[in-house]
Amino acid sequence: MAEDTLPAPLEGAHGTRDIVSPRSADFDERFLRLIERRTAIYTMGDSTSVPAHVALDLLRSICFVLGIDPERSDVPERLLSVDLEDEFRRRLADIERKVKLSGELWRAVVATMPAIPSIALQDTLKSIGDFPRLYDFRSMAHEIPVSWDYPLCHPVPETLLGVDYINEYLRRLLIEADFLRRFERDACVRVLERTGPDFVELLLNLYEPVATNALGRSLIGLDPAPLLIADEERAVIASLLGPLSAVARERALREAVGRACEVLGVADEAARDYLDALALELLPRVDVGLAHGDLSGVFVG
Amino acid sequence: MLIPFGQDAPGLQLRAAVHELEACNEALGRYGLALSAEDARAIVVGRAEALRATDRVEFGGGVAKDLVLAFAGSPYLSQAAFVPTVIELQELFYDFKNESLEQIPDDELIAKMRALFDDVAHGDLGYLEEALFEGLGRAVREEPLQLPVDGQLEEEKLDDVDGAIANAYTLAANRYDVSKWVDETYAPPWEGSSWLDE
Repeated sequence: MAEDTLPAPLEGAHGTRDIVSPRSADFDERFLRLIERRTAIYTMGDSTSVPAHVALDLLRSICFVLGIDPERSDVPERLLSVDLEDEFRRRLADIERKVKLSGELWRAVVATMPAIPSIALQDTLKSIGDFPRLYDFRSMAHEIPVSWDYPLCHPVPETLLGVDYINEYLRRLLIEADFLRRFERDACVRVLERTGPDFVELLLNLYEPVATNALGRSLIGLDPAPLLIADEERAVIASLLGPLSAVARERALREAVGRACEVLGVADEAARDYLDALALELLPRVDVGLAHGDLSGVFVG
Repeated sequence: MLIPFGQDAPGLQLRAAVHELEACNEALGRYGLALSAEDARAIVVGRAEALRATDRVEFGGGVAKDLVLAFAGSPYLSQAAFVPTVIELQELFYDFKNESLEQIPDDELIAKMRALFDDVAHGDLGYLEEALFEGLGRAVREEPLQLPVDGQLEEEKLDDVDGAIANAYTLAANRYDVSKWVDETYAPPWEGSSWLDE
């Protein structure tokens, strides 16, 4: 799915674009002092040297905190004239605030997620619950010291690192949880069972099949709540979409997004965009299904 | 890459290291030793090679100055042998840092090297290396975890436990307990029992 169709990640993500400039000798000297000091803090003054892989991680962490792309030779212009130590401390405080936000997002996800069984989701939530305790934002801010197996409907861009990645992951998971909780759990489970009988143990996203069926029902003007789509309803979808051009099919699906959100009371723009992005992803699958005269692989019943 | 680790250290660091070594001459004089600018550069070049060979990165002047000052008082070092010995000691130092899994602080390792160099190896670098790796290395690897006297580690463990309990409470308070769901809804019909029984 196209990542840029989704709303921008949380504020202050370190992927924000800066005006870059070539480094100066003065910057290199100050940057080297900063690395030296951060290394001393990392080793707690016990060692003036570190293994190269640790040095590289410390460098990546500093770059993440300062918003520098370590693979580029130029640096954000704003860093050329500031005290790097002060700037580092200031941005470290920002990261600390983001870690607190991680905890809030995690609690919100846990409170919102309906009790639909998924081992991967359960394990992932347990693991991310430990993130604030395990995350060494002072020295290894770019790392994600927890495991997350549960696949999102729309994966977080790999360009995000550290707390930015986790917060974006949780933000997307919260959107999914908030959508799922609008349906009866048993209805969701029925859809998931028809998608994959072993869905409890599989690495399967819960949102995608449920949202797909909700869109299918909205498409033909039905209440999305029951979720399952009977054969005759699927035939109506086929007769509706079949004669349409690709552009018209896209428009129909996006209109279904609007109707579903309205009926379900989804007012949050990010949640609407999330569902809209799924609708766009459905198009090629719908095309294939229509070509073979069978949409049961898209809208389950 | 922003900073080319693994390549030659920036000139800035080299200059700092040479300057630090030259500043040791006053202390070295007490033992009849001296470092010329050329000696200092040789030690710094040796340091860069040792770091490269051991795949380590060092900032600032590094340990060269500390090694020079620590070994200057050894009765087994003459002016002629001083610089080559320091260069070899640096290599041994970084190699041992890797071998000891970073568990020995710089100053402690230098003190141990000096003690072994004088008392066990009697100035023989080969013997010093053997003594270090056979003795200290084994001790580091096999040493049981030392619990701090003030119980700080215990408190940290308790904090971890508290965090885990809090997380479990949050999960439980929100019904996010997979075993409950399984009991409620996931009994495979062909067996009539929970899949957990398997």
